[in-house]
Amino acid sequence: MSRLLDITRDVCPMTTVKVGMALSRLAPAEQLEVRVGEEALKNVVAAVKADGHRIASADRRAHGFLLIVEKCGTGADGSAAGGRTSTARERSEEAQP
Amino acid sequence: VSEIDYRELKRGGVMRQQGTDRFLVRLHLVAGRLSSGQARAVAEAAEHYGSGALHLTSRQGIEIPDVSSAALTGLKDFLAPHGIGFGVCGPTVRGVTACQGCRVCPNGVIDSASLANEVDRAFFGKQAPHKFKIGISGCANNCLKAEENDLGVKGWIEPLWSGEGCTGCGLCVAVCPVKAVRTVGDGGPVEIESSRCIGCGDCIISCPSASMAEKTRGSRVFVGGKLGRVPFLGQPVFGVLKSREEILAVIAEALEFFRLHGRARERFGDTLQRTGFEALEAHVGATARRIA
Repeated sequence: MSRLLDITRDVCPMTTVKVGMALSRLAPAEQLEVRVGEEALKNVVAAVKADGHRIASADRRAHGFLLIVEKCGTGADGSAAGGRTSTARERSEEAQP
Repeated sequence: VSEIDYRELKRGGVMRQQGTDRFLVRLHLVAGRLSSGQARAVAEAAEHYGSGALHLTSRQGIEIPDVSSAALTGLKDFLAPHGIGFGVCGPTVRGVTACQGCRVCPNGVIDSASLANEVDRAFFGKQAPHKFKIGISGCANNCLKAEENDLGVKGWIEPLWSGEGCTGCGLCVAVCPVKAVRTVGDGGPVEIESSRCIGCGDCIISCPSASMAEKTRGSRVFVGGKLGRVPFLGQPVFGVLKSREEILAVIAEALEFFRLHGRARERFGDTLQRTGFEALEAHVGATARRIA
């Protein structure tokens, strides 16, 4: 069962903060539905990916998008789950020039 | 004082102040960076050789006003051991401006600060038909305003849609700030209009799968920009440059083109509007073929 979080009325950085808090309450592999407006879309998706979670699906709705986010975080044994995308900083280490 | 060639002084970064026999001394800084020791030395120099005043310029530089002609040599000798020389003015390549770049800024795509050092080493103070300003922005956010410079460099991420794993969710289309990304039909293949793309990479960071990925991470060059009395925004030339060597080569060629085609006291943008921007690309292409 997935929970629903509506952040269409929130502005950055509360959008990403609320998504992060909601995800922290979930167990790995659980899903969170997020209603998000177009303005916060990029930051929310980027933050979710940077924290190692997965956007299971994204569908256009009247308010913007409905995202289904799957928690990938830390497992019971304390090991981080895979699928973490590199951050801008990590990518820039190898950046040319 | 009457013996002094004011124009020669100006070229060396020393400007006579209106209605006085004092001078404004422009210092040579790169990308507005200096060490705390250098900052202390500049402060001490302003107190000892000027009136204690400093001026932060619009191009990340520092100037010391109220210096007497007798104090100019002393000021130069005082600052030299700290690695700070006098700047330039007049028809020359001016101090290079740059943002913090990817070593400091979370948005940075290129290392603008160290690129600025290399560009400065290669071109600072070189002669040109008119002033020639170079500015470097580390990413599409463009804090250092690449298009305002005679030659601007901007960090750039060129996206490529592979289609692999794409669910047609449309996030890339929704986040693109310039509507360069669109789906053909409902959830169909994604097309990127490269002439609209501003190289921000938003479509890549928002893609839930890895179907939108980086094709090239590098820089683009904008030429002919200026502000002043008649502002003009620099225009992009060439594609995405991957290496520092390519950037330095393009700057060298642009300066050569300017020296060949620019009239005295004509800004680069005016020259290019006269010759056409494609003339510069043809010039650089011809040189590349000569070398190859």
